This record gives sequence, C-alpha cells and structure tokens, in this order.
Amino acid sequence: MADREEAQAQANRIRNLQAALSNTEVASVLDLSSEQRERFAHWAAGHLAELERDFDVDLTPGQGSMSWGLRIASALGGVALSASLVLLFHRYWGDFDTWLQVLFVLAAPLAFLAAAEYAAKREHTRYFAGLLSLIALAAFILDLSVLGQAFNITPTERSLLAWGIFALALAYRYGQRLLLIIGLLFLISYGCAAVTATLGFHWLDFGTRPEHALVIAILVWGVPLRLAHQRHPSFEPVYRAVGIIVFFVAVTALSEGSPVSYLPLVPETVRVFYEVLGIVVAAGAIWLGIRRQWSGQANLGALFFCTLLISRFYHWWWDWMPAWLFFAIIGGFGVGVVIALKRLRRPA
Amino acid sequence: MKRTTFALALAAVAISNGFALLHVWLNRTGTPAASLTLRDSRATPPRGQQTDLDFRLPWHVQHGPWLSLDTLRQLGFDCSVGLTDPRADVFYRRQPPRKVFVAGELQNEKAGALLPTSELMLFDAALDADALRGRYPDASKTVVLPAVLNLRLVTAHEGELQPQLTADVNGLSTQIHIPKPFSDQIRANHFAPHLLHLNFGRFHEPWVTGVDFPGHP
Repeated sequence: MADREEAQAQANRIRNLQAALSNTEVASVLDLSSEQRERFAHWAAGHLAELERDFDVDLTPGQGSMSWGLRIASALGGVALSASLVLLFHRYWGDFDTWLQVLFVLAAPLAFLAAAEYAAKREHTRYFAGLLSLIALAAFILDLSVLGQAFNITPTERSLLAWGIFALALAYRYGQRLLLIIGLLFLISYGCAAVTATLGFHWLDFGTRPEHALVIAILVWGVPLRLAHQRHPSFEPVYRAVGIIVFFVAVTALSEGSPVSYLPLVPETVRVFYEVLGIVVAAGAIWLGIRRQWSGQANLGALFFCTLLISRFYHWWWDWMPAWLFFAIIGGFGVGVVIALKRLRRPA
Repeated sequence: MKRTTFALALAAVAISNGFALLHVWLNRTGTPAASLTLRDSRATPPRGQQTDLDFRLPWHVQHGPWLSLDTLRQLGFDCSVGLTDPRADVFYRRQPPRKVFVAGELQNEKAGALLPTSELMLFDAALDADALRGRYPDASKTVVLPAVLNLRLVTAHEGELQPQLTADVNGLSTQIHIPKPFSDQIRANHFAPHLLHLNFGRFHEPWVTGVDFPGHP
C-alpha cells in the first residue's frame, strides 16, 4: 500500500461491497451461501481493521467528514502559527544582537523539522506532522529573509529555489499536498525569475513576462507522465492542477492585460492569439481529462474554457449588444456546454 | 527515498545559510569599495510593532537624459534608429534591459542648504564596476552599485520639446539595516538627526560601521 489515500480508496471499495451485499435484491441475484457470506464478513472486518490500524482510514461517512475538518484545521493552524512566528520575530528581533538573530533564524527551521519528524513517527494520519512542516517552511522563509535584511544582501531569485526544494522535500517525506503546491509555486517562480534574470531583466520583473510561466507550467503538468508516483499517487493530480492553473493564469494575463510578449505581433493580435490558444487548450484539457479519467483536469479545463470564452464574447459583443441579449447568449452557451459535456461523459 | 527527502530538506537549509554567510564574509573582508557618511534626520521611531531599524537611502537622477547616447551604446543598447523615426517608440521599448553598474555621488547639500537626509545622485553607468570606480576614485563620495537599466523614449507629449532617449533605473538596492549597538544609540538619542558611517564591500553591499550625533556631547 502506497499512502493513506490509496488505503482509503480500498476501504471505500470494501464498504461499498458490504453495502451492496446487504441489499436484498443483490443478495438474491448472487445467492451466496451463509458460509460464503460469513467468510466475506470476516475478511472485510479484518481487512478494514488492518487499514484503520495502519493508515487511520475513515470507516464511516461521519469519520470522513471529520477527516476533512482535521485537514482544514491542520492547514489553517499551520498558516496561523507560521504568521505568529514571523510576527513574533519581527516584534523582538531589533532587541537582539546580530549573532543571536542569525542563530535563532538558523535554528528555527531545523527545530520545527525535528518536531515534524517526531510527530510523523507518533501518528499515522500526519496532521501534526503536516502542521509542523508548514511552520518549518515558514521558519526557513523567515531565515533567508532575515539574513538578507540583516546583512543588506542584494535579493536574488535563488532563495525561491531553496524554499521550493525544502517544501518539496517535506511534501514527499510527510505526504503533504499543500506543501507540494507551495513548493511547485516556488519552483515555477524561480524558473520564471531565473530566465528573466538571464535575459538581462531584473529578476523581480518575472511577473511581467507570463510566457515564461506558460512554458514552465507545461513542464510541471508533464511531470507525472515521466515520473510515476507509486508511493504518493495522490500527488499526480496536484502536478496537473498546478500546471493547468499556472498555464491559464498566464494565458489570461497575456490575453487580458497589456503583456510584454516575445511574439513579433502587435499587442492586439497577441491578445487574440492567446485567447484563442487558451480556449483550444482548455477544450483539449477537458477531452483528455475525461479520456484519462482525470476529473480534476476536466473540471479545471471546463472552468477556464467557460471563463475565456465568456471573456471573448464580452470583447466582441458587450459594447453594441443590449445587456439582456448578451446574458441570454451566455445562458444559452452554458446550456450548450452542459449538453456537450454530457455527451462527452457518455461511455463509448 | 524517505531518507533522501529528509537529507534534502537539511541540505537546503545548510547550503543556503552557508552560502549567505560566506557571501557576507567575503563582502566584508578586504578593503571596502567605498566608505560614506550619510546624514539621517529621520526623527520618528519605526512604525507598528517592529523593533528593527533601517534606513532607505533616497536616490535620483537628473531630469531628462542622464546618460549620453555614447554611454548608452557602450552599455550595449542599440541606438541606431533616429528619435523622430515613426518606428522609434516600438524599437526602443523592445530593447532588452542591461545589467550594469551605476555611479552615485552622495549629496548632503542642495543650493547652499543642508539636506535633512543625504541623497544619492546617479550620474554615470558602465558594464564593469572596476572601470567605473577607476573613473571616480574618490571612495568617500562616490559609490558604485549594481542596477538594471531600461531604455525609454521620452516623446514630445511627455512635456519635452524634442524626443529624448533616457534610461530608467531598476533593481537598485538601497535599504540599509542598522544593527545593534548603533540602533540602541539612535533610540537612546530619541531618533535625533545623526550621521551614519557606511562601508560598501566587494559585492557593493553596505554595512553600518558607526553612528555620530553632531552637536551632542
């Protein structure tokens, strides 16, 4: 068994089978003997107990809702405690000598890393390990920021690389998807900033050149195609989701704002080009998502497909069309999308 | 894999901190590239609940084109299109920026009156820091800093009679942290106007070496 998500999926399958067998119609079709029914009940109870012991899986819908609550509370707690740590340090750091500041900011990420390691060994669910590893990342961000400030070091993009590697290492160690998202965003930012700096621009201007993010987002999306995540199968949709979101945010910036593009075209043509590209890629993402059963990708593709198409309609028609007619067309378009997606969803 | 990820996390912390501290040590060893004394008349404590003190050195360039066409060419900009040419705006806007070094002169006075806070006036740029320092060897008045220059055509509708080519300065790092014991001295003197003594190291990064309170015993 790879991780808790896979164990949970297996527990869900056993519970579904238990529910199906307790249905009189299914029971009459299968016509199992009492001995077979007993053998299955014994196996299912034993296997579920094993999964609960090893992976702390949810065995009832109530436990499932509680797990989501725990996950959200753990993430929010981690964010709040990280903010508290940063504010606490800024409240008092002017009172410390420089060597003490350095010692504190260097020790903080290592201490929280050790605490996360201890928590991970004590609990299967990793809620506390997740919370502590999030604080360890915040402490590491604080560490490099404070060193930069205290010694007047010219800021560079390399900090983003260090934070990205650290976040990814913690994500893989403790199976934390939130840390994977944060780490990927740091690494995408680093990639954009490094290319921007190499081309001679100031690295902090990386946001003004969305085409770099566009290319890096495709690379991130493609990672699960090259690297199989057998230990963390739930990480593959995260790579795809981060890749798709960054790709479409870049496309939206290129098609809606006043972007600086490498394309040798006038700005209006660049905008139209990226709007059309975005719509085509979104349609392709929906198709591929349904074909490969990547539900997250299909949903994100549908979201961006509608957003980009509505934006194009707005540019074409809003100025000369009565508002009621514009919204009627948008409504009709929504109905059309529902019909098209229902057809795509139908099994071949 | 499990051990690798833990080692990777530790290595990220150790290597980045090691590099940062080595960078600081290298910057501060040897003869300083410049030693300046700045006037700081900031009379208010830091905002909010922060206890650290820092100083942002104001800088400016002279109005209009502060670098000649020859200097811009030496920095690698292509200035071949006439400034009145219809293609000029797009041509100069599309020029990639240049990572350069700029020379700034410390100004403590303006038109006979003392400035409340020293300012840095940028007046020259070059691709090579040593060459720029060679042109302005007085390390007590002139400082050389890394920056990024973007070319910009100032057109007639921006208030100029003739189109002019100028360079906008980006990425200039002028925030200076004031550590203990100097921050304590400033606090003890109730943020009275003071003189900050700074050194700039081999990477053009500054650090505070002293603080004086003129007129105070």
